[in-house]
Amino acid sequence: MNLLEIRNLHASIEEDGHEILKGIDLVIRAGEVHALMGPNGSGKSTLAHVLSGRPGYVVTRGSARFEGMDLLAMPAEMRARAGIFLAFQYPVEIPGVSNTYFLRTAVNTVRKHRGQPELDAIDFLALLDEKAKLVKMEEALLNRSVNEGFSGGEKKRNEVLQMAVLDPKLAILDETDSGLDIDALRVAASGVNALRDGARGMLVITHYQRLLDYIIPDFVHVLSDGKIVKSGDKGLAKELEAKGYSWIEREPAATASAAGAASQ
Amino acid sequence: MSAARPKALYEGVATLAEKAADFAEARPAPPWLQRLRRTGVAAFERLGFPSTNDENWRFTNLAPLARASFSLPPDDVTLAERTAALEMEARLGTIGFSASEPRLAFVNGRRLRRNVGALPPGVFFEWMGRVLRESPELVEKALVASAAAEDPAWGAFAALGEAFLDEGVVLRVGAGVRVADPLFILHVSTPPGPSEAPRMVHTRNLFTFEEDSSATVIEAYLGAGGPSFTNARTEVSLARGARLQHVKLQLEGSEAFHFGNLSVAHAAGATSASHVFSFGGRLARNEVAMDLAGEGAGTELNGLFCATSGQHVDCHTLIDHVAPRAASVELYKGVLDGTGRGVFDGRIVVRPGAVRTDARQTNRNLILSDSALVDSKPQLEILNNDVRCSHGSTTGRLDADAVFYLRSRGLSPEAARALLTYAFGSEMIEKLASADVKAFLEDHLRAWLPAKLAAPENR
Repeated sequence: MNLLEIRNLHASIEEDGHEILKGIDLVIRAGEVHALMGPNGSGKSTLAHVLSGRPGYVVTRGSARFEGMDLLAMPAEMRARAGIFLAFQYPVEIPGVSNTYFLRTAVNTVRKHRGQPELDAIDFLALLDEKAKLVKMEEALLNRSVNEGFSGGEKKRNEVLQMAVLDPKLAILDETDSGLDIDALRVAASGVNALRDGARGMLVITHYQRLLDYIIPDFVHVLSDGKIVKSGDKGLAKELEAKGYSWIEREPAATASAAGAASQ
Repeated sequence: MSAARPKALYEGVATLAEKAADFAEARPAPPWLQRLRRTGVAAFERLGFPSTNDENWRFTNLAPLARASFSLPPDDVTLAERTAALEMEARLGTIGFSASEPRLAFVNGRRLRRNVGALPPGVFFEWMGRVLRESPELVEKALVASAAAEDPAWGAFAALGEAFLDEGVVLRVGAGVRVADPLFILHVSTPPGPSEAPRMVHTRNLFTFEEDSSATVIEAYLGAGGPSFTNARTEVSLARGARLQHVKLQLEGSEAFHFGNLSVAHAAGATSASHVFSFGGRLARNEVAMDLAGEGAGTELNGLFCATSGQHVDCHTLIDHVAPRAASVELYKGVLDGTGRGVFDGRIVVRPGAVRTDARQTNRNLILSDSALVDSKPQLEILNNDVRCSHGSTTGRLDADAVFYLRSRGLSPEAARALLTYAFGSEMIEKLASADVKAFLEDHLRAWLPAKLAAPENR
């Protein structure tokens, strides 16, 4: 079964009705890593938001199924419990909530949903310590309020840490590279790579090819004006790097079936 | 004061004044105390309950209190009262159950029990009622002076307190004495029996801190349900270099009326911190007045007030910068849910002579429902140029991005909102020193939230 199957997805901004996604087709199977590239305003982050259930968007046409379930009918928290994880481009600061408490609450909510016993404090801390090593997260950051006063790199590492602890089936990384210097990027990417286990699917959204030097995708898609206009392997990312997005924008739009076929 | 006082506010004043006059007649007392009580009766008759035309009471309508009828309970504590009070006391959990903690406990304003065996030398911690009977000269000067200096703006409840002056706590901390354990004052109100009128309590605390002394005082007001009326006044005088930590837990039932006033006079270099936690009642008002009369004095005012449907919580603070180089920092937070109403009125006065004053005031309110309301009225009156003052007030809802962030990690919208609300309020709890009081308040705040929230057992 396909992990994620998006068919002819159209979505608009709820407030003003402006259409951002204009017919997205994308299939991600278990274990595959897909990169989604595209210029600013092409709809990359909107797709991430729509898939994660962020309020403020209206899906006007098309479908998105996750393990066969109608994803769009599920509230955001049910998508998370079903196994979708969104690493935010701009992680939110939550003063007064310790990172550890937040993570344990999230893990136990998800475990409860899956019919697994909740982790007690000791078991949870053991899990947290193990995963924190993946992203080189210092203990001090675990005891601080969620993302409060974190540097850009620390916030992104915290996103990857949450992903590691929550163990999703599909991870959507929304511009995880934005605002990171090369060292911070390497740390975040190595954390992500450690979570590539042949079963987890990933959708890596990025503006720049740079991230894909560290997270090598199986497939690359180019989004332009709300549609996937080109799909290929990791070579496509290199080509984009050399020629720029204007090269794609001049090409005739790929057909829906061609984009879908790229992942077959 | 107004000519156009609504009729509702007159109702009850005459009967209450009559009860006070009877009380003054019936209770033997030295002449100065009799005079004080009679003056209180007369003042209350004259003032009546303030109306919303009174700027100090603009957002708090006292008609429900004026209409209700409350009586002093008989002198002897009944078994039912004792049982109910001890049950409530047990709910405090770990607070004060260490044998070392000095405690005076009251039920409906009468003495319940005391535990002062572990007091360090130089500390006097005693029932006001006993002092008034056995050694009234210890408190005469202070009580008479404070009645004479009465500010009519705060007047009606103070007058009522004087009219019924009889019980409370007298605390004196000797020069240089540092009291390690918090001194605990507990008030429990219990519901009236089938044939009894709802109870009222007028309690008066008088604290004197001598030079360079230091102590923490916790005043807790609990209710076992039913209507009650508590009028509590605490007056503190801090000598040079003295330090007070004051914690007030106002946790009475949803039918309770509570009016509390804490006023602290600071000599040079004296410092105080006041922490008010008010979970309301039907109508609760917590006043804190800090008089920074000594050079280089300092005060910190913290408050958390929470109200839900059927509740009104009013927090009034006054910081009077009289002397040079004094500092004040204030943070009050309100959480309003359902049809709950909150008031924050924070006034800072910087007198002409109070040069190099440093005053910072912040009020932040969180509104959880469409019908909840808070009135915030910060006031700065600066009467000289050489000061550093700031104030700010914000009222808003939970951050939608934060709610979504938590939902994207699997939390239900209710759990997300509860967690964010808890985080907002718990900042005030974190400022406390005592781990036991913190844990108790954290549990209380969690239980107050509209949705369940797991306890952070690993913290």
